[in-house]
Amino acid sequence: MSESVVVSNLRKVYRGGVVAVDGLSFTVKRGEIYGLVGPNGSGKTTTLRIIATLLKPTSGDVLVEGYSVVHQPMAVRSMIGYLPEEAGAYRDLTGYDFIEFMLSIRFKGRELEERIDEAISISDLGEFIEEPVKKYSKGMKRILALSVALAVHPRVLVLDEPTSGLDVEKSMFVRELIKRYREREGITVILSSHNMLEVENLCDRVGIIYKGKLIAEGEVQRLKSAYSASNLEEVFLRAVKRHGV
Amino acid sequence: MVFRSLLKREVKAIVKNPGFLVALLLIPLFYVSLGSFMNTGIRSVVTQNTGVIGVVDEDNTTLSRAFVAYLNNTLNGRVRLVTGVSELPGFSTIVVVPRGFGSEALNSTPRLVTYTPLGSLSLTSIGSLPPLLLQGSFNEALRYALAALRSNTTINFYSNATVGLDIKIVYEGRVLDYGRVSTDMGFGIASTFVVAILMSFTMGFATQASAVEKAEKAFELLLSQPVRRVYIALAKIVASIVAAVIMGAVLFGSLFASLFSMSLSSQLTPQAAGVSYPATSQVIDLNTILFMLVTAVLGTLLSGGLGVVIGGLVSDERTAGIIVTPLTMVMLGLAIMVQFTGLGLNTLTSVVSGLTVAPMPLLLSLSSTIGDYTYFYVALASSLAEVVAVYVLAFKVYNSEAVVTGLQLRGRS
Repeated sequence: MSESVVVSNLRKVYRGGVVAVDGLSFTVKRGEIYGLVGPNGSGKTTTLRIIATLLKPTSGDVLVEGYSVVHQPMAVRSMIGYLPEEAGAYRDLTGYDFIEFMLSIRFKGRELEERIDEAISISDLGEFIEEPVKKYSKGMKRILALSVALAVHPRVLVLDEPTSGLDVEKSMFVRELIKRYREREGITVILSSHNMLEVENLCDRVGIIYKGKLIAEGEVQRLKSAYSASNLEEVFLRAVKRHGV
Repeated sequence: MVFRSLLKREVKAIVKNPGFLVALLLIPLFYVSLGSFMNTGIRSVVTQNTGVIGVVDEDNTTLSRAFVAYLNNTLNGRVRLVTGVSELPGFSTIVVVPRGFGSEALNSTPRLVTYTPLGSLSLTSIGSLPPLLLQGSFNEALRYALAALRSNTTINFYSNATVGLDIKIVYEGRVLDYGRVSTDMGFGIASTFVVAILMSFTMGFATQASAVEKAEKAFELLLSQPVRRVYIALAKIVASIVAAVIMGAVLFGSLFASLFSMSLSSQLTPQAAGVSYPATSQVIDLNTILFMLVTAVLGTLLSGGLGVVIGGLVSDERTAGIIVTPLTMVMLGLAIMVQFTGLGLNTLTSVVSGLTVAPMPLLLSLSSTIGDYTYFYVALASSLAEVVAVYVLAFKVYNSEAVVTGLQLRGRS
């Protein structure tokens, strides 16, 4: 496996001096599902927003499929599918219109029609696809946004808390989707979560981030062994203690 | 108790909003500055209305001499006899009593010719020209003169006697047609409101376009797509202008319908006696109309750009509303206040008009009246430069992370 996402010495300081990301470096291999875990405010969302070219790093860089988020943001955007935390959709559009609008940015003609069909199929919203988005539940809106992110066939899928706030059934649906697309398209997935159990079941490798620093990284089983822990939560607590952050 | 908690929370949310605090500072600043402008204008109007009036008595009959004497009495000694219109620079107005005035007064309505220099006038005081304000005094002086001429009659006998006015406006030695001036200024005043309202609508729509998208949580999804953000900003601006034009058309269509209904009923009302208004020309030249359209386009482009900047920088709809509401009030305020501020015609006025856009139609009307568009071009250039600056800023905001995080005045917690 070659490298798909390379995060190098990433640092992000917000106006006011708050350090959100502090010298973060990690690599995600092509076709891998990589999980960034950590508590609220640890820098996960900031890191993913930088990868999605929404924020600019104070220093350091991220290469996505060889393109720099600092110098080639448009090229990076054409490589990725991004699902923001609390992703929503335009309230005045129907689910179908939303899918059509978002995909029409990248595709035209017959290809657009095929991608729309694919997104509709992914969303599995049935007759609701013709209903206005304002009638959708939070889970439906999230799946609608995810269907768009997947239907573009990105090389890298960036998911910020993909199952946050979803019920068990919808969470499983989303996880299955991610797995299926990774297998079918061979895409790289980088996701954030503070649901350790989800990450344990879904991700090939995990990076534990705390106060903007990567304090542990590796395959889940190896991390558990290294920290003599029975689950990822224990790994996290012991890593924090060991590194004295 | 519950209501009190709700109210407290709402008030706190507004009062603690940085946008609200900024608006609280900006509004007084704006209106205090406007007040000083108004003061200048009021002084110039007062000067015009209390200035010395020159009279050229070409008729030189008993009646005309009596008329001049009574006019001087009526105006508290502000009348001076002069030899010709060439002495105009020293007077607020010169009144010419033409040959035949006396005989006309005895048989019908006599006419006076008045000359008022445009250079001493403000942008909007043409509508209240000294000669029009003096109409009552002219009528009264004529009645006294007629009564004095025939000693067996009283002034009440001539209560219907009025003077017709042939108003001339003089600009740099040229005599302008008052009808044209009046039509141009009427068009200018009406257009000022049209431009200001269109600007207000556009700014509101453009701000909401970004703020609502953020509230819907769809903005980040859109920004992460491979699309130039300039297009995202431009699409919002153009859509806002289209929406504002539609809204404006409905508003002004409704107003027109309302005025039309009013005019039907006003036909039943008798005209006020004693005041004879000069006829106005109905033709507005094509240049003026085209320039007015350019002004409206510039105004909406500017307010659309500003709206996108505000919408891009705020983090929620509440802040957007708090910032935009006073700004739209300032725009409408400008349109209303400029009617009374008496701004003089000079380079500074032109630049200020260009930067605020709303007063530009008045400047355009005056330019059209005097047949010299130099000052309007200055305003146009200022406005154009501002539009370019605002668009550069708008695109910069959309290409910055502030569009995602919102402007963090107090840092991120």
